[in-house]
Amino acid sequence: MAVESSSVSKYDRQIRVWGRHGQEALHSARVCVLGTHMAVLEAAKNLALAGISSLVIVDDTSIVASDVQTNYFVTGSGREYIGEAAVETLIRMNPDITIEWIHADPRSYVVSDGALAGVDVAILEDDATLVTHLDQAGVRSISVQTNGFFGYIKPRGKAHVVLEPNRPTPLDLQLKHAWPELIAFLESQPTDVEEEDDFLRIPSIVFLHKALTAFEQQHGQSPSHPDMAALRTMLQGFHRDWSEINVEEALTMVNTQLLKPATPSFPAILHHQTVDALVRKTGFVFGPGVDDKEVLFWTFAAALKAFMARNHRVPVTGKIPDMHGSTEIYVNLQRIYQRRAASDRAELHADMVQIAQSCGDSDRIRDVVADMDQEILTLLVKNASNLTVVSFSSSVDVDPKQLAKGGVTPTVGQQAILWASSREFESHMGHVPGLSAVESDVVGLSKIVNSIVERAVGESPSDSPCMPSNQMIREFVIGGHCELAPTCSVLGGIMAQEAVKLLTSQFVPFGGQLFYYGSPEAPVMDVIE
Amino acid sequence: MTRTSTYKRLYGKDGYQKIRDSRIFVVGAGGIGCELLKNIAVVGFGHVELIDLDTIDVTNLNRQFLFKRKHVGQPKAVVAKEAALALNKDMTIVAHHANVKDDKFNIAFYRQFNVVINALDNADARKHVNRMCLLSNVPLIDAGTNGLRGNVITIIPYLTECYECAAKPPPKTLPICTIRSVPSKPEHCIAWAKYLYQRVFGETDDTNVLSDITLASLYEKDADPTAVAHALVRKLFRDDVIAARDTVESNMVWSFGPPRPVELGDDDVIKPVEITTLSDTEVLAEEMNMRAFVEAVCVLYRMAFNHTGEKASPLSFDKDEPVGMAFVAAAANLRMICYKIDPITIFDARSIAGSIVPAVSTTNSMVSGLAIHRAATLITKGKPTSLDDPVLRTNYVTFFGAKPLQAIIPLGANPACQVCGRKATGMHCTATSTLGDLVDVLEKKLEDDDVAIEAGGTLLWTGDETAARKRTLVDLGIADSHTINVTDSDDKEYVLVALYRSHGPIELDEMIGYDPAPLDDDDEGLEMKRQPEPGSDSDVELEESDGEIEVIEL
Repeated sequence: MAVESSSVSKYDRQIRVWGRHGQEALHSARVCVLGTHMAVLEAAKNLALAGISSLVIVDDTSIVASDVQTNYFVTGSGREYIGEAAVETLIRMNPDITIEWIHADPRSYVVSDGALAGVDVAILEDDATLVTHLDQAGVRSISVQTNGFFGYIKPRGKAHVVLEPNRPTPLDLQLKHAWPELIAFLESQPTDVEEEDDFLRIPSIVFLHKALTAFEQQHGQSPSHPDMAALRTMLQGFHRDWSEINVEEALTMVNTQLLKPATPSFPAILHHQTVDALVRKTGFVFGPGVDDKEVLFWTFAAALKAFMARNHRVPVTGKIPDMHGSTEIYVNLQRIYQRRAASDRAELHADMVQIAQSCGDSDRIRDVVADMDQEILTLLVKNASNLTVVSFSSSVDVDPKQLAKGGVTPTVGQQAILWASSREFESHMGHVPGLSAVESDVVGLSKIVNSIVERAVGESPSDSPCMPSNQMIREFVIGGHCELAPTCSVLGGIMAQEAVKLLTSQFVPFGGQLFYYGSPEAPVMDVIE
Repeated sequence: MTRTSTYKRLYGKDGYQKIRDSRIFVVGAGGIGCELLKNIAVVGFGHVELIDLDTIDVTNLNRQFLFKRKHVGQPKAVVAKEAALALNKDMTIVAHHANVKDDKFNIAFYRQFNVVINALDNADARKHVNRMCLLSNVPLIDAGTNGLRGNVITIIPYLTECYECAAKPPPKTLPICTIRSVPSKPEHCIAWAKYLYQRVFGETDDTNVLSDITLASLYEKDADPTAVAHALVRKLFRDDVIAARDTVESNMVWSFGPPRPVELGDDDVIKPVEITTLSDTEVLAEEMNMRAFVEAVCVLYRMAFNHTGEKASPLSFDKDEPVGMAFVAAAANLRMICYKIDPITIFDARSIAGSIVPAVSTTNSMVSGLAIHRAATLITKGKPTSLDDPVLRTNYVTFFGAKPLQAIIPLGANPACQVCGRKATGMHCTATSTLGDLVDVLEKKLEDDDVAIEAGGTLLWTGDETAARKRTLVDLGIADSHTINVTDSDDKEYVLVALYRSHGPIELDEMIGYDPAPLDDDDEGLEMKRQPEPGSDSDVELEESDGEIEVIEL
C-alpha cells in the first residue's frame, strides 16, 4: 500500500528509521491482539502509533474498579469492558487506522472459522493453549507475561527471513578484486607529484592500491592479518615531510580494506537447504505457507551464491566511504563504483531470472522477480553479507535443563527458574504465588525453586549460579501478577519493536525468550536462545 | 486492587509514601516526555512540574500519544498536563510553556525537586539542565533516544560523570568557500539555501556567509513580491552562475564541469505553484523548483516585509514550517541543478536542513519505563553514595547489538571537568548585602585573605579596591541564581550561586563537589581515568542530536 503524503509528515520521524518501503509494509499489516494485559496494550499502542493497517483486540474481560486507576487505557472511559475502552483510547491515538474490538474469549475466538485469516502477527498475554494453537495455525506470535518487576517476552512461529538486517558494516572498497576500469583509474593517479597541494589531492584509496599491488608483487600472494606491519610501513613510505592527512587516512583503513581474506566465505545462509534446492532441483516448489518476501529472499540468496561462486567476491554496493582529497577524483571514483554496482546488480538479476526458468516454481519466482525494483535489489545487495534467517524456539517455555549448559547470564537464569517454579506452584496450588498470603507463598515457592534447580542443573542449589536469592523470590511473590506501568512500558516497547521487525523484514529479531527483571536496584534483561 | 494497594505492595508502605510525597521536574513534553508523564500518573508520584517550549506539530503524532490531531499548534506542556490529570486526579501538575533556560527556573526552583528527568532532543538544553542540577545538587536522570537506540543515564552531582565531564566530538564542519563557490554535494547547497533564507528574510546578521550579496530590489517601497521573486531567480540562478562560470580563477576546480545557469530570459514569467501541492517524496524538475521558489518568496516576503520595504518582522527558519522548507529545498535544488549535482526530494532536504533525529514510539516506551523505574528507586532508597550502586548503571537500549539492554557502571566525576570539577555552594544574601560582606565571609570560610572575585566576566575584587567594598551585590549586577567565581591564593576555583532572601547576613551553604584542582595543573592521572570501564561497549554512544552543521572558515 502506498504511503500518502499526508501520512508521510505524520510518520516522518520513523520513516527515517525504516524507510518508505518499511512504512508501506506496516501500512498493510494486520495485527491480532489477544487479551488486554497492560504490556500487550502498550505494544498495541506502539503499533497503532506506528501506523499499521489494522488492529483487532479480542477480549471479554470486564473493567473492575482497580483497572480504572492502574490501567491508563481504561481510565475515564466509563465502559464495561477493557477491550471496548482500550479500542476507544487507541482510536484517539491514531484515528487513521482500523481498530476493532471483538467481544470474545481469546481461546474460543482463535478456534473459530477464519478468525486468524490474514493475520500477520498476534500479540498476547502468554498462554500455553493459545501459543500452541497459533503455532499450528501458522501465525507468528509474540507473547508476554509480567509479575511486578519481572517479565518475559517470547516470540514463536515459523522461521523469519530478514531481507534487510541493516547491521552496521564498514564499506568495502574491494581492492583485492579491483577490476580493469578501477585499476586503470587508480594507476593513472601519480603519487610522486612536486607540489604539496597536488599531493593532498590524492585520495587514500590510491595509496592503498599501490601498497597492495607492491605487496603482491613482492610476496606473490595477497596480504593477511600478520602482514599488517609490513603494509603500514609501505604506506608510511608515502609520507613526505609531515603527516599528510590522506596518508594517515590510508593507514587507518589497512585493517578494513586490505586484510580481509581474498575469497570471502559464504554467508552461512547460502548453505541452507532451500538455496541448494533452488539451484539443483529442477522440480522445486515453494510450499503454500511461503510468502512473496520469502520467495524473494531465497531466490536472491541462490543468485548470490551463484554470483559468489563465479566471482569469488560479494557484489559491489556502489557506496564508498568519505575520503580526503580532490572532489573531482572522488566523484570519478564514485562513478566507477556505481557503474560496477549496476553491472553486479544486472548479473544478480539475470541469475534470479535464470533460477526462475530452471526451477519448478518458475511462475511464482518470475512474478516476484518482476515485481522487484532496482531500489529493493540495491537494498538486498547492501545487506548481502548479512542475510539472516531467525528460527524461533518450538518449545512453549524455556526448559530449566537448558540452563545447565551454561552461557546464560546468572540473573537471567535465575529469572527462568523463578518463572518455571511459578508455573509449577500454580499447577499445585491453583493460583499464582502471591495472590493469597505472601509469607506462606514465599516458603512454598522457595521449596519448588530448590527442587527445580536440583533437578535441572544437577547441582546443590546453593552452589548454582541459577539459584535466585531469597530477596528475589520474595519480590517475585510480592509481584503476584501485578501489571506495573514501568515494566509494561519497557516490555510493550520491546514487543512492538519485535513485531515491526517481523512486519518490515528489517533488523534482526531475537529468536529465544527474553527475560526482564526491573530490579529495584538495576534492571537486567537478556535473551535465552 | 487500587493503585495505592498495588504500588504499596510493590514499593512497600514507606517506599510508596515517599513516592506519593515526591516532587519531580520533567524537562520536555515530547516523545519521551509523554511516556514519562503517563507512567508518573499511573504510578502516582505526588507532584510534577513539566516544561516545554514547543507547540504540537503533526510530525509528533506518531509517538507523542497524549496529543491528538486537534491539538496541533497548542503548547505541548499544557496539553500533556491535562491528559495526565485525566489519568490521575490525586496528583498535582504544573505546566510551564516556557524555555528551561529562563531566569525564573533558578537554583531555588530546582532545589524543590527530589529528581529531575531530562526528556530532551538537544545537547544545548541538556547542558543547561545538567549545570542547574549540579549547582542545586539534585539528581538528574537523562533519558534519550535516537531511532532504535536509547539510553538512560543517572547523574548524581559530584559523584558520577556529569553531562559535560567528557569532551563531546566536535560538530561536523563545512568549509565556507565550498558553500559559497564550489558546491559538490546536496549538503553544501542546503547550507547555502539556509543562509539565503536567513539573509533575505531573517534578522540582519553580519556573520552570515552570504551577507555580502546585494539584494536591492527587496527593499523598495511597495515592491511587488512576484517581481522580487523573479529578480531573485534571475540573479541567483542565472547571472551569478554565469559570473561564476566566466570567472577565471586558477584554483577553481568544478566537480562536475562548469556550472550552467537556469534557462530564463528577462521577460519570462514563472507561474507560482501552491506549496501544499508539492510532492514530498519525488524529485521536482527544474521548472517546478522555480515555481515553488517564486511562490515561497511571495509568501515569506509578505510575512517579513511591510509595504515601505522594511523588514519589519524577520523570520527564522524552521524545518517543519512548510513554506520556509519549500524555499530552502527549491533554492538548494536550483543551485544543485546549476552545479550539476543531482537534486533531491523535499523529504531528504528536510532531513539535511533540520538535522532530524529519527524517532519511534517503541524506543521511547522502553527508556521511559527504565527512567521511571530509576526515579522510583532514587526516591524510595535515597541518593546513592557509591559509584558501584546498581541504580547508577547507565542503561543502553539497542537492537543492533547482541544484548537488548546493557547496564554499565558509570565513570566518576572528572576532577578536571569545567562544570563539576570545582566546589560550588549556595550564597544566601539580601538586596543590601555588599561586596565587602561577601569578602569577609569568604576570607573566614576559606581561611585565606587573598581571594579574587569575578562575576559575569568582570573582576570585582582582587584585594585592594577598598572603595568597592561598599557597593551592593545588586549594584554589581548579581541577580538571583547568578554565579560568582572565586579564586583563592592557591589558584583554586569555587563557584557561588546567589540566592536572595528578605533578611539575614550573607551565609554560605556547605561546599559540595571536588576539592578544586589548581587552575593550570595538568593532571596526569586523568588520561587513565577516562578509559572506559571493562565490559563497556565502545560502539554505544550517548544519544544527542545537536547535529547542526557548523561552518568553518578555510
